Amino acid sequence: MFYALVGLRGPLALVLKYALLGAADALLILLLSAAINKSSFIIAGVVIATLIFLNYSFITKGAIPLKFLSVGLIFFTIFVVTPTGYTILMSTYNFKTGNEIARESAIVEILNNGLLPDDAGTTYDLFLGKSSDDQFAAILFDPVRSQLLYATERGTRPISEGDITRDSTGFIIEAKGIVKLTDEEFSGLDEVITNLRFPLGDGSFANPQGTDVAARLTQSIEYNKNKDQLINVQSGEIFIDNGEGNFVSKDDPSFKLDPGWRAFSGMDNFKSLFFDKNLRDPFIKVFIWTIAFAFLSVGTTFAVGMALAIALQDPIKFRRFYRGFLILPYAIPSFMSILIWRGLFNQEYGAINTLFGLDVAWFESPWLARFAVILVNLWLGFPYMYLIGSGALQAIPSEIEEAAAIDGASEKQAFITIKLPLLLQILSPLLIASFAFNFNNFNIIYLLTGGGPTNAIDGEVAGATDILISYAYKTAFGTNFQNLGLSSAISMVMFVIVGSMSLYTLKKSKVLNNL
Amino acid sequence: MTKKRYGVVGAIAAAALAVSVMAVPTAFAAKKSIVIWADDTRGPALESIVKQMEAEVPGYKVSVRSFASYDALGTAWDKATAATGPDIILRDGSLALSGSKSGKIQSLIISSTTRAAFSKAAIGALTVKARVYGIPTDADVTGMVYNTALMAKAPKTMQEIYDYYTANKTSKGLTNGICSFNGTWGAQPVLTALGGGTWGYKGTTANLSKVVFNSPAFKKNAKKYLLGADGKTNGFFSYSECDSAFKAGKVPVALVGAWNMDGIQKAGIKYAWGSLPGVTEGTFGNQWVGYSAAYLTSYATKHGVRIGANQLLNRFFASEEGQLAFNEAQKTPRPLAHLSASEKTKDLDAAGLGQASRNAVPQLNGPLGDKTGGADWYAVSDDALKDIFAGKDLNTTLDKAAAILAKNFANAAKS
Amino acid sequence: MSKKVGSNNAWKHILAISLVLFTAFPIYVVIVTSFDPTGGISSNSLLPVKFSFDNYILLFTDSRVPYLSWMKNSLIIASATAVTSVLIGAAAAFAFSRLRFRGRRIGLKSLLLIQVFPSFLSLSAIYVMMEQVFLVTPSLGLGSIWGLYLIYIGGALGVNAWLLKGFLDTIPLELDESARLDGASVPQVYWLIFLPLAAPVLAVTAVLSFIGTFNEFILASLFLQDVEKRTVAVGLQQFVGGQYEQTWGPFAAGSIIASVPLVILFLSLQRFIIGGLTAGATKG
Repeated sequence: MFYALVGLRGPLALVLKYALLGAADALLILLLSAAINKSSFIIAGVVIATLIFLNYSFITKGAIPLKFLSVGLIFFTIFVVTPTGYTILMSTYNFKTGNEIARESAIVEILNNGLLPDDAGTTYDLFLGKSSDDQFAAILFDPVRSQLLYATERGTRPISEGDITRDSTGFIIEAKGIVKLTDEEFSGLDEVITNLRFPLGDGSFANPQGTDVAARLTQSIEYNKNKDQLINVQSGEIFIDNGEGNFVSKDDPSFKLDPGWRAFSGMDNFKSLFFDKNLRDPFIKVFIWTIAFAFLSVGTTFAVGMALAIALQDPIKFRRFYRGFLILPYAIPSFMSILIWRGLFNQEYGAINTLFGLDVAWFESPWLARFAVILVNLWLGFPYMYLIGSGALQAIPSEIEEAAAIDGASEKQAFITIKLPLLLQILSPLLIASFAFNFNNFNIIYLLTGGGPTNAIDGEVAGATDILISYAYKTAFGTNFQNLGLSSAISMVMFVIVGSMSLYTLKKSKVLNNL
Repeated sequence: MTKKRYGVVGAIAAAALAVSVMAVPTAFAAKKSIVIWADDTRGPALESIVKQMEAEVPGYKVSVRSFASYDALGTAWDKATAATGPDIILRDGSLALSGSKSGKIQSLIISSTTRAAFSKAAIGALTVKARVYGIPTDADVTGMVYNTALMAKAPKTMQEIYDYYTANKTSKGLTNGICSFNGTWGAQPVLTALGGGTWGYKGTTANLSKVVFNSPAFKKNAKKYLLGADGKTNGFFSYSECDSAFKAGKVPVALVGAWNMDGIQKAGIKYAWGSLPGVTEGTFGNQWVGYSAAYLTSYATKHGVRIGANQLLNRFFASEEGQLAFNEAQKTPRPLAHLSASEKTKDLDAAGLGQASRNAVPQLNGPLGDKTGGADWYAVSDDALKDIFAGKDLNTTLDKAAAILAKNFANAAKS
Repeated sequence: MSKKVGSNNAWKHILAISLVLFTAFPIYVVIVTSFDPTGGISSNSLLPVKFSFDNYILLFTDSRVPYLSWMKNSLIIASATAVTSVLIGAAAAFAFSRLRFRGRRIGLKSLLLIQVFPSFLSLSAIYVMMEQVFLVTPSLGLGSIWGLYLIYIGGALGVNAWLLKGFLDTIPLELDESARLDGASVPQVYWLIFLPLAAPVLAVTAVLSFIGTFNEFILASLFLQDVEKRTVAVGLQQFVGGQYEQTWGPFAAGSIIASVPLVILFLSLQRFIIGGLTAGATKG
C-alpha cells in the first residue's frame, strides 16, 4: 500500500513526532524550573497547564482534531484570549490617571507622604549595626546640637563621646556594643532598614535615609485598620473611602488624598460614555466619522480597483506593465507609505503644495484632513480591490456574458444589470472584511493625521479624523490624562459593533452552513 | 493507553528531565542593583559614569537603561509595573505632578544643604502639596540664537528683526524672521515679547487669576508684527518646520533648546547666543523654564533598594560633582539646575543658554497641563496661533483661548 | 470573451495612466528625497537639486542608526512569524474544514469574534504579562524579538485559519475520501494531499503574514526598547515621528532599501496572490 510505504505512520514518523514533542517538553520544563526558581507561580501554573494539554493532545489516542489545533490554541489562549479578557475586566474599573495602583500600594504611598521632617529639617549622622542580641542598633549624632544617642527600635538614650571612635574627619567608625553592618549586609537588608524607626520620645522618630544618614520624622497621617480610615494625627481630620478609589476628607468629600487606586466601578464607564455629555458628544462624533470613513474607504477603493480590473481584463497594450506597477502600493510596507504621504501633505515643504502651486494647510482643516485620509487610503487600498476584483471577474462564467450579448444588451447594460450584482455577491464577504478592517484601521489615522485636527479652542476633545480605535488609544495612552477604564469601555462598544457585523455576514454568506 | 505509549511517555519525560537538569540555575550575584531609566541623550551619558555613581552607594550596583527616544521612555514608564520598573527615572518636571498623583513617584526628604544648592524655582517646580518629588538635574529652557551669516549683531528690538526680514525676504529667500524649534512651548518668548504671554505676575509669583494671553498690548503688536495685510500670517514668525529652515540658513533668528544644537552644528550654521528682544529696547521675551529631575520611584521600595536609590539621588544627583560629571558626559549638555555647578560648566552652549535664559519664567505644569476648560495650554495656544495665522479674527480667537485658559488656571489654582 | 478587442480602449489607458501617475507620485518623491543630502522632503522643487549617497551611507555607518540590525531583526521576526503562523493556521484550517468534532462551529465563530476585538488596547495586559516572562527568562520576555514573535503568532490562529479554511473547502471531498479508502490516516491526508495542494495558497498566506509583521510597529515600538533590537518599522519611524524635527532623507533611503525585497517577493508571487486572496470568496 502506498500510504503505508511513505510512512507518517511507521516508526520513523513516530520517532520524529515524539522527538519534537520531547523537545517542546524540555523547553517548557526549562521554563518551568526558571519560573519556580524566581517564585513566579503564575507562569509556572501556565507552563504546567500547557505541558499537560500539549502532551495529552498528542499522546492520547484519538482526539485527532485536537492534535491539529492544540499548538494554535495554546498561543491563542495565552496571547489573545487572556489580554482580551483583561480589557473587558478593566472596562468595569475606575482605572485612570491618579487611580492606577492597587489599594494596598496606595495606602502605603499615602502613609509615606504623611512622613514629615521637623521644622529644622534635623538630620543625624548614622552608624547602623546590630547589637549583641541581634537587634538593629544605631548611633545617631546630631551635629547641630552635638547630641549623641544610642538608638534601638525601643527607644534612644544619650551616650558620651567615650563610647564611640571617630576617624580624622569626624566620621564614626566604631561604637561600643554595636557591630556595624557591612555595605553588602546593608544593601541586603535595604527593605527592612527603610522601615526602621528609632523613637525619639516625642512622637517623632529617626528613620534611615542613606547608609550613614537618618532624618527626624513624624508620621502625620495614620491608618486605622479596623475602621479602614486615615487620620491626620495633628488636625484630627478623618479620611474615608469614597467607593471610587480615593480616600476623601469626611467633612469635605471633594478633598482627595493622592494617590488613589483602581476601584471596581461596575457599569460606570459605559454609563458615562452614553450619558455624560462631555464624553458622549465626542464619542458620537467620532462614531459617525468612523462609519463614514469605513464606507468611503471601501467605496472608493472598490470603485477604482474594480474599474481597473475591468480595464485590464482583456489584453490591451502595456497590460503587464500596468499590472506590475499598479500593485506596488500593496507591496510597499504601508507604514512607510503613510509616513511619506504625511510628508507630501506638509504645508511648507510638501510636494503636493509644490506640485499644484498651493499653500494649503492640509491637516489643519477638518474637511481637507478627511479628504487626505481618504485619498491616502485609496492609494493604499485600490490595488487590493483590483486584485480581488480581477480574481472575481475570472470566476464569472463567460457564458453569462455571452448570453447577455445574445440578448442584445450593450456591454454597459450587461455589466450593470448582470455582472456587477454577481460581483458584489461574490465579493461581499471580502468587502465586509475590508469594512471591518477600515473600521479598525488605526495605522493610517495615527500615522497620517494623528487624529487631528482638533480644534481645542472650540472645546473639541476628539480630532476631526479620529476614528473609534484611535480615539480609544488616545483615551488610554494619551498625554497628561489617561483613562484605561473608559478606553476599555470604548473597545467593548467597538467589539459589539464589529462583532455583530461579522456574525451577520457569516450568517448571510452561509459560510457556516456549508458542509 | 497502550503499553507502547507508556514507553514513549517515559522516554519523553526522561529526555525532558535530562535537558532541564543541565540548566541548573546559577546563584544570583550578591549585590543589589539600582536601576535607572533615562532617554537616548541622558541614558548613554549616565552609562559612561556608572563607576562614579557606584562610588556613592557602596554595597549596591548601578545599572542604566537607555531608551531609544524620549517618547519611548514615557510609554514604557506608563506601562511599567514593579516587575521591571526602574528605581530611579530621569524625566521632565511634569512627572512630579503626575507621579505624586499616581503614587508611582515617592516624595523625598531632602536636607537643607541640598535645598540650598538649587534655586527656589527649581525646587518649587518639583514640589507638590509641600512635598519635594525629585532632584533637579537640568533646566529645560530655550534661548535665542541668531545666524551670524545673516545678522552680524544681536538684534536689540523686535522691529530690527522685522525690518531685516522684510528687507531681505526675497533677496535672501528668507522663510521667516523668527522661528521656534519647539512648537508653542518654545514660542513663549515671542508671545511675551509682544506683550502677551500666559498669566500675569505679582512681582515674581505667577498670578493665575490673570490671563494675559489676550492682553490689549499683545492684540495690537500681534496685528502689527505677525499678520500681513490680508489678515493671515506674514511669515515673520513660525513655530513649525523651523528645524529645516534654520539649518538651511533661511531664518535669521531661532528659539532653540540645548537638544537642538547638535543638528545646528552639524548643518554648519554659524550662530551666537542672545535674548529675544521685546518691542522696545531693553525689554526681552520670557521663555519657559522647566526642570528635569531624577525621581525616586515607588518600585525601589518593592525591589528593596529604596535607601540605596535615595542615597544615590542625594549624594550624586544633588551634588556639584555629580551634576558636573553628568553634564560633561552628555553630548549636548543642558543648563544645570545646580547653582554652583552651573557656574563651572565648560560647555559653551550650556553656558550660552544659561545666559540667554536669564529672562526665563517657571513653567508651572499644573496650570499648563490642566484640561478643565476642555484642552490644556499646549493645545489651546497652538490652535489659537494656527487659527490666527490662517486668517481667523485675532481678537475673538484670543479671547476664546483666554476663556479656556482662565478655567484651567482657576482649577489648577484650587489644588 | 474576446469580442471587439481594442474597440474602445482609450478609457482604459486613461484610467491606467492616471493611476500610474497617482501611484508613482510618492514613490518618485521618496526616491528623490533619498538622494537629497539636505534632509527635507522635496524642498520647493520637485526636480532633484542635489545628488549624493549621504543618506544611504548614514544608514550603514552611523552607530546611532544600526540599520543593518533593524533589517536583520525585521527579517528574522517576519520570516519566523510567517512560517509558524502558516503551519498553525494550516493545521487549524484543515481541522475546521475536514474534521468533525464537538465545538467546531462555536470554535470557528469565537475565533472570528475574538479576532475582531480591537486587540491592541490590551497592550497594557500584554505588557504586564511579558514583564513577568522577562523576569523568568529575559530571552522570551519584554525587549526580546522572540517575545514579540510569541505575541504575533498568538494571533495567527484566528487570521490564517479563516483565510486558509476558505481555500481548503474548495478541495473536493472525493480526494481525501478516496485516500482514506486507500488506507491513509488523517495525518497522512493532511501532509501528503492537502499541504502539497495548498502550497501556493500557503505561500501567499505566508507572504501576507510576512508583510503584516514587517509593517507592525505599535507593539514593536512598545516592546523593543533597545536601539539594537528594534525592527525597521520602529527604527525608521523615529526619523520622522518627531513633532518638530523630521529627517526625511535617511527615512526615505531606509524605506527604499526595506521595500525592495518585499516588492520583488510580491511581484514574483503576484499570480498566486491573486488566487490566494480570492480563494475564500469565489469558490463554487
